[in-house]
Amino acid sequence: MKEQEFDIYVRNTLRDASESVSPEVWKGVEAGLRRKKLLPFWRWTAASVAAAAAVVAGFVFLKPSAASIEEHSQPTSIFIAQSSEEIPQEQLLPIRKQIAGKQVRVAQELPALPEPVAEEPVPVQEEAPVQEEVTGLEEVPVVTEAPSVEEHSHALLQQLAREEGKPFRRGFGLSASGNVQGNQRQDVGGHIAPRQFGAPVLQQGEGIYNATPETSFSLPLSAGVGLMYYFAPRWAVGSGLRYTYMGRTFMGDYNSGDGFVLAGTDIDNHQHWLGIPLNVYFTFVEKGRWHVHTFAGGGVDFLLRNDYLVHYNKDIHYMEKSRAPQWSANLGVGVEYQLNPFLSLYLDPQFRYYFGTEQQPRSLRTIQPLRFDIEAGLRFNLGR
Amino acid sequence: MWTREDNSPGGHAFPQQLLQDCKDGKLKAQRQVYDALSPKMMALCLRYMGNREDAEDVLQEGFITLFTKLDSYQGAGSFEGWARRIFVNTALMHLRRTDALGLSDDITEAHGLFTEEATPVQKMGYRELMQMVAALPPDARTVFNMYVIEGYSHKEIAKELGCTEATSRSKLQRARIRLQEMINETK
Repeated sequence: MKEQEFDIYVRNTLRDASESVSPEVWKGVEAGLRRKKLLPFWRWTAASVAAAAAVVAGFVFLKPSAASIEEHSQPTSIFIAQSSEEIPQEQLLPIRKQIAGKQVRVAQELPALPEPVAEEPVPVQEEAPVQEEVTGLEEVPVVTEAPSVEEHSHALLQQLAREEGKPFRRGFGLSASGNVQGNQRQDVGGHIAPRQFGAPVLQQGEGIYNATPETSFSLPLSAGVGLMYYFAPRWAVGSGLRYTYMGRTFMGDYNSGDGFVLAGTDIDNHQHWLGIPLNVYFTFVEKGRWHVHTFAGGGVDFLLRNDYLVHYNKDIHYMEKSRAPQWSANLGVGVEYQLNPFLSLYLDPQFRYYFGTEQQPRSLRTIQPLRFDIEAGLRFNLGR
Repeated sequence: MWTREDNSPGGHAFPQQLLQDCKDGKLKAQRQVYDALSPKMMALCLRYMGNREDAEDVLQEGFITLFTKLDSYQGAGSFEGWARRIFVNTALMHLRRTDALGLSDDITEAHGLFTEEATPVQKMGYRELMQMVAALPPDARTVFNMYVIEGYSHKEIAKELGCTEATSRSKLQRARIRLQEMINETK
């Protein structure tokens, strides 16, 4: 009994007790959670790379023979029968061009048709005339049903490209894309103002100061247009223009520069960036309409506008001057699905690292320079 | 602002929406949960680790695990009770890592706990008791905490610590005796 009383008293005294906690513990928790958030992306990337490597290995080692490719990808062909009328060559060439589209050059001239041989009239028979094989003529793939034309022409294009040792796509491609970065989050940290950090607001010039630790960031969004040039089999280079919007909300101080100071007020920050990306692409898997490529490159972003909206009984707009360009480097693995010879959908997940973020206004990029982007869009193959 | 959804008496209420926000990675919600739980969990960690520095390490790691594994909390039982188990396991992991437990199958009976001369434990306040528990050897302290404070059975303790039930009983008894000795010394 006494033992039980002992246990009960100790339990009641200690179980729901509280102890003070150092503020450093929360910082450690936050940093740990941030690391955990990145980890899934690393795992996803590792899984993607592993999957891509498996696909490549499968393609390389299990690639069907050329004969079976011909057998399976050649559209149905018919033999052009010799008729009493001569079929001009120029009538045959347009058929091939029409099926294969502008991207295919006729590899060779069709051989001349043999001269029709005069024969004695043959009595008309009731059964259907037999089509005789005519030597010297190439098999001309002709498809009759409209839905299968694209399928066959697509396979034919690929096969022709391989046979000729030339890339499937040549020339220029135009792309329109959207881009999503990171997550909406709240973070610890203040506005970057190193020259005025810690100084009384009133003594400083016009500007925004002393943001409180909690900042709420909105989802960064990008949109852009690009141009790609396929300069070698499987290789391409691309560039373009990319607009990015980043926003955040925090509490801070505002100094109008003429003696008017607002302390501890809600402030919205809107950042508008224009970037020029430059990437090199290598396509390492081409299977039917699917292409898997890896790409690497970099870019430079210019801060077009950095607006602050200071909330008071009437809102105050403050615009900060432009800063130095923001440089970045990126690396990723993407997929592309060819809808038709001229249009494809692509998805390019990538890692991007931003350099020199300490010189930029506070954003998710300055807090986390290594970021994971997902770019998706349409690519138009202008070809030649 | 919060509705009382937690049935544990005296426990803090953790609304479903708040927990869902934590699962969604919203830092503000996570901070709220942290602020609500950290003082109690710090006391728990201090009881297991015996010093503040190690206790804060365990507290930090415990919260990271809690928020990371929040999906596994299905609502059965109180959230605070679930959280306690997370922190106990984290503390045990730390103790194993430092090889502080060193439990041997010593089943020598311990005697002489509640004698006539024993000072009633009820004379001890929280701070004194906490210091005494922290002063126990790590193996005895761990078993005492798990059995007396957390309510684990000897079978569960043996499974967690990789020892026999007899060893668990023996360590518990030794902890009680040592505590009583320390209480007597304060007379």
